[in-house]
Amino acid sequence: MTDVQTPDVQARFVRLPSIAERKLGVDFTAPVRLDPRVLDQMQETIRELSARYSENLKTQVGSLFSFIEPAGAGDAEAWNQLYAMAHEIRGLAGTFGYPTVGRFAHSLCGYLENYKSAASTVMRFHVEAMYDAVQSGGADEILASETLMSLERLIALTHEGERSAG
Amino acid sequence: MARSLFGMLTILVVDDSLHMRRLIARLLDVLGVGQVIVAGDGEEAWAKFLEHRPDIVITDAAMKPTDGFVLAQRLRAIGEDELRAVPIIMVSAHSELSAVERARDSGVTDFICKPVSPRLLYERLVGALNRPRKLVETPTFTGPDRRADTAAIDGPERRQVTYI
Repeated sequence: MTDVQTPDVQARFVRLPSIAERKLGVDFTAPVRLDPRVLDQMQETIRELSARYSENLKTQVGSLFSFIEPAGAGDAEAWNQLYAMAHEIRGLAGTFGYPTVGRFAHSLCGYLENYKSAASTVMRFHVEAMYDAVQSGGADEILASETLMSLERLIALTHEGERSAG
Repeated sequence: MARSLFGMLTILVVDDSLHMRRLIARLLDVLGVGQVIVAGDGEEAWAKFLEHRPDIVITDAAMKPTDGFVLAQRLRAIGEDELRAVPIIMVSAHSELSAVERARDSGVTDFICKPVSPRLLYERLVGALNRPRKLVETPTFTGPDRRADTAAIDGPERRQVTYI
């Protein structure tokens, strides 16, 4: 008789039946490729919702301007509001057909995350870029890339100056 | 059969943005999902999860007062195996590695970076349906198994597998 030593159990694994087994009573593999007709319907749904979203986006971007000066002056509530709105825009704008606005919002969020003492000038340039992109339909990717590079240079210059002065 | 399976699904969608909740819910409708429950943050989601016992949870990361990471941890601490193992798909604008690692460590099954595309959403849902992952429980982590089933084990078997 073999002496079997049971090693210490350090992890418990639970294997459950698949959702298909539970729901249909048999194992079933859903098609990995989405039916093109369903994909078309989903894209049409996004287009329908985009119309409603674009009005909201214009209002939201417009209201960002009012938070810039207080946030730059150290008002934490204004900073939080600005960040929360920019964060929402970076998540939604791209989905609803405004990828460049989403990229500018992403850049603004990154700036706010990295520089707690954010400069009004940098925030204002971001918000103006977002505003222009919304007004123009926001489809010019080349212009957006160039603007983002300019924003990066502006951030570097602004905070390099601060470091030198400090 | 795919549509009949989708028709039997209950999916909980959690996002503090009305637009994103509406979008994901509508996309799931188009896919033929039987019941879509929506919640605006982790607290509301927790209550609705216990009430509706959804098959899949799709959640945003950053929400107040309770975010998606805390929600995932709470779901993974439920006593009932079937509920605790629910697939959790996190949808977030935070694309940094640290956010993905935090999601993984909170027990999240899959991660989608915003912007959301229909194809990506479908692929993640099918992944949850076709490739259910074992639930692993250790003193410090409860969540989907991070390792592939096919990998050979080099050394003593220290895992205890419970088939339910």
